[in-house]
Amino acid sequence: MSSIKVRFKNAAKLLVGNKKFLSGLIMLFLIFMMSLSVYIFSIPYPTFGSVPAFREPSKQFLLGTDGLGRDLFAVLLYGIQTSFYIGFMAGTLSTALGVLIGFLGGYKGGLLDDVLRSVIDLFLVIPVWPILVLISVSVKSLTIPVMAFLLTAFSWQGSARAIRSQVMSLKEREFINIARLSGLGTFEILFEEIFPNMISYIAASFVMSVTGVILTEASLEVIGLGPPSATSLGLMLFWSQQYGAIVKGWWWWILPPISVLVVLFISLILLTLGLDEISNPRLRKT
Amino acid sequence: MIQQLLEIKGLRAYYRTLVGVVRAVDGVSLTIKRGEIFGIAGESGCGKSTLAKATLRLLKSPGYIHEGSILFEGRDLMSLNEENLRKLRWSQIAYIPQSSMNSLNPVMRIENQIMDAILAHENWSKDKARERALQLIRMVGLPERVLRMYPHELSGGMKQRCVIATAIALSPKLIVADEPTTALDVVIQRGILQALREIKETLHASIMLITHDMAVHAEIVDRLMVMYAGKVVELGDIHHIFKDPLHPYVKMLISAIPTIEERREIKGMPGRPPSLLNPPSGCRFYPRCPYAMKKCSQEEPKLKEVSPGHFVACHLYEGW
Amino acid sequence: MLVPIKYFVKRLVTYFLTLIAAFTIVFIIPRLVPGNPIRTILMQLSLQGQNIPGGEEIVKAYKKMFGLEGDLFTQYLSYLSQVLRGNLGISISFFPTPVKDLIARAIPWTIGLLSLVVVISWVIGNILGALIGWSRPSKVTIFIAYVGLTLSCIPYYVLALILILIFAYYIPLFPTSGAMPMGATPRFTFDFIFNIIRYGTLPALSIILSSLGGWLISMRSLIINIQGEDFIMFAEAKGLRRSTILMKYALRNALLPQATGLALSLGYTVSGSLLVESIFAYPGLGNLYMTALELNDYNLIQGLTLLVIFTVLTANFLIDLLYPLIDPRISYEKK
Repeated sequence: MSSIKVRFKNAAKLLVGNKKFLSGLIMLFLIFMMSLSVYIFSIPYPTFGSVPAFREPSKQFLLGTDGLGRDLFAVLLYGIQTSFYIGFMAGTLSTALGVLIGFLGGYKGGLLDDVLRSVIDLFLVIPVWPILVLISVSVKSLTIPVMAFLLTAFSWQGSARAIRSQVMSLKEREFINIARLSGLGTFEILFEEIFPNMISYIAASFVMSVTGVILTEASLEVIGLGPPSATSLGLMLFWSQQYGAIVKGWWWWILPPISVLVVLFISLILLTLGLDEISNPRLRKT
Repeated sequence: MIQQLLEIKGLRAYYRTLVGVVRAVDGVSLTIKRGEIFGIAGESGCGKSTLAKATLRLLKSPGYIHEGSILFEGRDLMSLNEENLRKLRWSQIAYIPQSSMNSLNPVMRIENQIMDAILAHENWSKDKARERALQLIRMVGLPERVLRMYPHELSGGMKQRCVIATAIALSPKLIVADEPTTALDVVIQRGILQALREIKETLHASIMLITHDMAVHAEIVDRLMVMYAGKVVELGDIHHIFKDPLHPYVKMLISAIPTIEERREIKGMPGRPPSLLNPPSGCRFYPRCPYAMKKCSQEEPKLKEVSPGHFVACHLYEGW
Repeated sequence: MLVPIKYFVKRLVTYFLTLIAAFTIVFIIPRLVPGNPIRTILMQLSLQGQNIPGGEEIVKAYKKMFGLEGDLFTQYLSYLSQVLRGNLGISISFFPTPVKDLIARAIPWTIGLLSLVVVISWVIGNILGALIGWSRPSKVTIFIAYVGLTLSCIPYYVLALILILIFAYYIPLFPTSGAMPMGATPRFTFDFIFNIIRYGTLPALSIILSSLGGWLISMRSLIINIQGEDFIMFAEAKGLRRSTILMKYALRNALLPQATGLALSLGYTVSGSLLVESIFAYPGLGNLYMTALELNDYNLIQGLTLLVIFTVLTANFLIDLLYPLIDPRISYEKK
C-alpha cells in the first residue's frame, strides 16, 4: 500500500509543477475563498426584500442592489457557493457514475458491454440540453438538489465513454492477463491493477464533468430555468435580463457575474489543459 | 586525404526529461566511405536510433545535440540553414525510419507520397514524377497497383518496401536505414536485404545500417560499429570483427547468434545496460563484463586502433 | 458511386432507433413528473376555449386528436402519428396558431444565422489554430492561443451580453434587438438587406467569437500532437517544405476529427444560438423558445424540443454517412 502513497506524492509533484494546472488551481481556489468571505465578514444571506431595490453601487452596497431587494454583492458571493456546490456535487456523482459504467462495460465486455455501449451512445448523440429544458419546465419545484440530480443524470456519458475505451485498451495489456492468470478476481483486478493506471483519465474526466455541469447549469438558469429562489450566478444574469439591466446600463448587475463565470471557466479549462500536458509529454515545454 | 562521405566527430545527443538528462549518445565518432555499407549494432536503448536522427538533424525535443560535428562531404551539417538542409535532405541523404509502418501518411496514396519527395527537389512534371515512382516500385519488387493504394491497405513488408522505394528516388549518396528488417518475417527480411545490397551496387550509395540483429550485419555489412550505453565499444571490418571479436560485449553478441552448423549452448547475457541518466564512471560495461579488472570501474577506456582499421575501447588491450 | 447497402442500412436503423428513443423520452417526461403539465394544458385549453365561440368543441376535438384520453400506450401511438404527420399541436399562448406555423415563421432566421455562423467560425478557428500550432512557439502565438482559450470559455450568451454592452450601449453602432427595423416589410432592396446584416451582426458575432475559440484550441492541440507522429518526421526527412507538410500531411489528418467535431458541436451550437437569439430578441427559434418558456406554453416547448433533437440527430446521421468519403481509412465495406 505504500506504493500508492509514493504514487500520490509523485503525482502531486507533477501536478504542482505544471504551470497551467497550478494557475488554474490557484484561480479556482481564490474564487472559492472569495465566496467563503461571507462567513468572515458576516454577510447575511440575501433574501428577497431584505434591502431597498435598484440601488447603485455605493459604500454600503458594493455592487448595488437588484430589483428584488437583494444586496448584489452578497448575491454574487453566495452565488459562487451555489455554483461550486452544484458543480462539484453533480460533477463528482456523474464522474462516479461514468466510471462505474465505463469500467463495467469496458472490462466485462460481451452482452453487458453491448447494452451499456448503446446507452452511452444514446446519451451522447441525443442533445441533452433541450431535454433538460423540457424537464426543468415540467418539474413544479426545482430545488438545488433536484437540479444536481438532473445534471448528474445527463452528464455521465462523456466520462463513461472515455473510461470505457481506456479500460478496454488496458484490459489487453500483459499485466492484466498475468493478474487474471494468477487468480485475482474481477474486483481485485479492477481496484489494484486497472484503477491506478486510470487515475489521470478519471481526474481529467472529473474536471471536464465539473466544467460541463457548471456550464449547463448556468445556461439553464440564464433563461430562468433554475431554482427560482436560489442565489446563483446564472440566475443573477437572468434577473438582470428580466429587468432590462442592459438597456438601462446597470453594468453592476451584469459584469460581476459574467466576470466570475468567465474566470471560473478559464480556471477549469486550465486545469484540463494542465492534466493534458502532464499525460502527454510532447505538449510539455522543456 | 580522400574526403569521406560522412564524418561524425565526438557527437553527444541528449534528452531532457522530467527526471534529468539522458545521455543517449555520449561521444561517438565514425566515418563512412563512399559506396560502403556501414553497420551499427547494439541493444535497444544504446543510442543507435538517436544517432541516426541526430545525423539528419531530425532530433526533436526533448532530444537535442549537445555537441559534436557532422560533416557530409566536408560540409558541416550543423551550420546549414533551414533551406539548405531541406535541399540536402533526400537528394543527398535519405532516411528509412524505424517501424516504417507509421512513416507513411495514412490519408495519402503511395504514389503521391513518392512523388512528393521527388517534386520537392526536382523541377519535373507530374507525369515524369509518376513514371519514376512506377519505376521505383518495380525496383523493390512491388506490383504497379500499389501506387494507387493507401498505406492501410498494405502489409508491413510492402509498406517497408514503399519507404525504401521512396528513399532511392533521387539516388542519394547516403541512406540511413534504422532497423529496416525488424518486425518482418525472415523471408521478407531476405528480400529487403537483397534490395539494399542492390542499391549499394547499382547506385554506389553508402548505407548506414542500424540494427540489433547481428545476423543481418553479418549478411551485408562491410564495416561494423558496435555501441553500448551511448558509447562506441568496437569498430572495424565486418569479417575481422566476426572472426576475432575483441570487446567482451561483442564477443557475447556474436556467440549469441545461433548457427545451423554448430550445435552449442547459446549463452544469454545476464544483467542490463546501465542507466543513461547518471552513467557510471569508468567502463559502462563493467558490471556485466566477465573479464572485468579493477581499472575498469575507475577509468573509461578510450577507443584505440588495435590493428589496421580495427578499433576497440577496452582496457584488455592496453598494451597492444 | 453506390453506397453499399449494409453500411447504409445499419446506420439508418440506428438513426431511427435513436429518434424513437428520443421521442419516447420527450413523451414520457411530462407524464412522469409530478404535477402533470398535460393536465395543465388541458386546463388552460378549456379556459381559453370557453372564451372562443365553439371553443368547447375545439378542446374536445383536440383532446381526441392527441389522445390525451385513453391509456398511456394509446396516447403514445396517437402522439407519434400526429408528429409524423407534422402536427405538433396548437400553441397555448398563441391559441389557436399551430406550433408548426410558429416554427415555420421562425426557422429561416435561425437557419440563416446558424449556417453562416457555424461555417465562418469553423473555418477561421481552424486556420488560426493550425497556423499557431504549426509555427514555432513565440510570444505572439502563445498570446493568441490564450485569447482563443478565453474566448472558448465564455459561453455564447455571456459574450452576447458583453457585445451588447460595448457595441450597442456604450458605442451605439448596432441595434440591441430584432432582426429588422420596426415595422419594416421584407423586400429585396439593398436597404433592407443592409439592415438585415446590421441587425444580425451582433448575434452572429457573439456566436462566432465564442465558438471560434473552441476550434482554435482544438486544432492547435491536434496539430501539436500530429507533429510528434512518425509520418511527419518522415515527411521532414524527405526534404519537403514546411508549408507542404502542413497542408498535405498535417492538415489532411487533423481536419478529419475536426469534421466530426463539427457535426457533434451542432448540438451545442443550436442550443447556444437559442440563448443568443433570446437575448437579442432575434425572431428565430431561440426567441420562440424563450417566449414559450416565459408563457409556459408547453406544446410549443415540446414541439421545439422535438425539432431540435431531430435536427441534431439528422445532421449527425448525414455526417456519419458522408464521412467515409473524406477519410480513406474508413470504407463503406467491412474488410
